[in-house]
Amino acid sequence: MNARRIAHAGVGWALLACAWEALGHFDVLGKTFPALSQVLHVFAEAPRRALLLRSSAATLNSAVTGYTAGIFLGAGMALIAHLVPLLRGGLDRLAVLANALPVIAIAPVLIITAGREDTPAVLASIPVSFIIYGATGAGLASAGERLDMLLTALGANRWQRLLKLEAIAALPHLLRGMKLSAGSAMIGAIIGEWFGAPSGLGVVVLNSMQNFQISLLWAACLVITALTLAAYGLLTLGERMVRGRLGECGG
Amino acid sequence: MRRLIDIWPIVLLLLLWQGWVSASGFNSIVLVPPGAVLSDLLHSPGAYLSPALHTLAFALGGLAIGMAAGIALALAAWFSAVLSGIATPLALCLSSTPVVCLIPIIARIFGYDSRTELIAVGVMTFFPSFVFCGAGLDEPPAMARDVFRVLHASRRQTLRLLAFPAAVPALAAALRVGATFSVLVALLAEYLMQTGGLGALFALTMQQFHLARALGASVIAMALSVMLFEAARAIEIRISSLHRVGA
Repeated sequence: MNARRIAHAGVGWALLACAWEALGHFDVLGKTFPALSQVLHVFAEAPRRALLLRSSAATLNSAVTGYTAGIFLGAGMALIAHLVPLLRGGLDRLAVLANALPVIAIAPVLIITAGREDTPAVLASIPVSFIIYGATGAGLASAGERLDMLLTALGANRWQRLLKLEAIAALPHLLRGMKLSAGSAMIGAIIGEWFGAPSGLGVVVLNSMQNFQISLLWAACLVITALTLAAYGLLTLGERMVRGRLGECGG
Repeated sequence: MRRLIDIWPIVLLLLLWQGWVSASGFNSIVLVPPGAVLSDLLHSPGAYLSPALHTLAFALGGLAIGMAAGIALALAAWFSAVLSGIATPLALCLSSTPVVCLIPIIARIFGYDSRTELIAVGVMTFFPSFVFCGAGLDEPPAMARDVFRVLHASRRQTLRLLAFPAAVPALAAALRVGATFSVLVALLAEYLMQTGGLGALFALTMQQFHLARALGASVIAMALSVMLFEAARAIEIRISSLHRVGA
């Protein structure tokens, strides 16, 4: 069954690659849809490869900075909402607002306040922090009342309950949030680069679109996709490991 | 009172904004206080109305196209195991790629016009629709499917009476995810291609340094996005409560 599923997925990818190659080769969708081989050829050209590598480093730098900041910010806010119930309603409302917020709408404010160079990282951190806020909040609340009562009866104070019970219960939720938000960090960083950043994959995408460098445009998008999928895959592995470890002690 | 307490983060952000404007002492061309944005919104609402309607129309139109295409492919995959085996891993994989970043490609393929905006929103909302709908159709437990098989229900009857009703809550979730996505993508497409709507208003006023209006367009865009999200969430809550009663 499993082998069959892998075979199906493999056939799917192979079909997609062949369809792409054929559509591009015969110019079915016009000059702006190049064949896969033409796109891959970009990576063989040293100057363009160097450009893509340099831009990937810049984008990854913004995305990882924003991602890390977003995780700390989101987890911190969840902790505040958990410990001070009075502030919780406001933070929940802010999270809904930020979740529905089109990133482009706040970009001009960021360009003025954070500057063109830091806008990608800030824009990456916003969606991450609210996904992490939601995930951590759910995790902190998932510890269960009975264990909480047990610890209280054994004389644990608020901090001990938080450290020994709730924080650990929140860990798998936090990791799932980290997995789900990796893509958002990448999107935030790239859209942030559309508003005048000096370098990055977003800049390459926009410039190659405007200058009609079609194969470079596609190659840059391919790199973005590959980076995002790699991050997602790595975090899925990490999540599985933590789940397995916590699953053993009945968490 | 409760409501007042619940808006504290927004009040705090506005105060920080105002405080920052006063402290930095920049010219009002570079930096506008929140009051100036509000006054532009109040004094020339007409300037915002038609771009807002444009964005709303394209967001909703694209959402409808994307949802319909996603549901259609999910149904096709439900009927055919081979198609499902081929399409599902692809769609799962592609749905975690940053599709928003591919708007420039779509713009290049279909040209810089409003049709492209519609297609972009459709493509972006297609993935959540297909993934959620596919998961929803597989929702009924194996036992329920066995009952249908024992009763000699045809594949079509099983779909109509069992799988599709089971998928409705998942479709509502897809609508919520797609609704927020649709305004974002419509705005980005308008911003990049300047085809009209709030995104174009925003790009143009930024170039003219008419910051109060640019930020006003931002505020309207946020309001639209939150409205669509809240509406979709209300539908979702309503459907899931009905569903629980029905089950």
